[in-house]
Amino acid sequence: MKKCGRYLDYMELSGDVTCSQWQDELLHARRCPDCAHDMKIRTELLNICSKLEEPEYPLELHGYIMAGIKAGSNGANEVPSLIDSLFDKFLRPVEFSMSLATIVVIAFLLTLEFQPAEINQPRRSYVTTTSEQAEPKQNLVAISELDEVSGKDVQNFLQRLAEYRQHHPEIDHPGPRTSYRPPVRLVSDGQ
Amino acid sequence: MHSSESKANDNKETDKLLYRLRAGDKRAFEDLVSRYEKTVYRLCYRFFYNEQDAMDATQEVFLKVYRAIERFEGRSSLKTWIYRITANTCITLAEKHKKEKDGLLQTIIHWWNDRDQVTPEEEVIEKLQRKINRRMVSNKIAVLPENYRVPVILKDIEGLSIERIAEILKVPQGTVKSRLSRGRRLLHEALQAQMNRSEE
Repeated sequence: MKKCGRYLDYMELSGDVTCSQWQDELLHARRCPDCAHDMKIRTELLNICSKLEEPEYPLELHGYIMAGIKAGSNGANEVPSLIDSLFDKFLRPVEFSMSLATIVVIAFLLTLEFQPAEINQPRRSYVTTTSEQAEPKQNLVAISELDEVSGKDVQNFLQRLAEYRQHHPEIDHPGPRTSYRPPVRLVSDGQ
Repeated sequence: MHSSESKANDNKETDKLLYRLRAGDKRAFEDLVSRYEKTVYRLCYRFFYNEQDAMDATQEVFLKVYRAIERFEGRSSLKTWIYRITANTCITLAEKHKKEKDGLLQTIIHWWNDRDQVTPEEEVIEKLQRKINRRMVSNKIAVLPENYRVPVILKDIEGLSIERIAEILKVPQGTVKSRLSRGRRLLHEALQAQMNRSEE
């Protein structure tokens, strides 16, 4: 069975209703169980609405609002000053060129091959031989006098070398290295 | 006599506040927030029936007020102007929420949350009472279409006059009346349906 909706339809009209029209509706509502029920619900509904409790206000409400305003005003509404805008205009190209130069330098450095420097320092043993101590001095003299060497000096040197080879044949035919025993001077020998 | 005196005092206070705001007094806006935050929050809470949404909407309302206060010409009262911003903000946010909830996953989450809102004990109490209660009403108001929700809240809960609501919403009084009636009817039917379900 279809529910009677006359009361609700009438309420929805909500225009200027005369007193007699309103009385007619009330009479109908008393007789019609559907409309009586609707009227009861509507009255109860409006009663509840008018007496709805206030919500609990969150303690952080004020702070939350002010934080939002601070964030919003910092972001959108801030107008840069003339000096700021001028600095910005001038500094931006400088900033850009500096960044570009840095990138170019890094790229250039990456293309270079890394070559570690050779270290030709002679290793020194803990035991120092007398011949080793004397040799560097002789070499130094020879190197410093290279510019003044004449053909005669060369001939003299070759003659001395040949004599030396004759007296020392082991140079051309060296024996096993293990048999070599350099003359050792201990620290306590001098005492 | 007493109410007219308090209204005159209220107007004086508002004028002072506006003067300070226009003079660039930074504390003035904080005073404005302190003065209207509860009213705005209450409206937002009625609209959404959810604390977080109400807080977000309140924050949004005051941000709009902050940005537009310099353009406020005083054609309507400050309170009416703030009410208008609140109503428009709530409607905009509700539409935005609706778009966000269009996804299937969101619909399922929403359904699941709704399901959890009424505990078995509360359901038993509701069945025993078999009548409409405040919680039910608040819930049903919060799901009314936005255009009908605002007049129902302003008229039936806040108790404002049709004239004032028309001023707030910037619509003719006839429009307010028809929206109000339609909103009440929808609310009524929703409550009736809920009661029928709980009786079954």
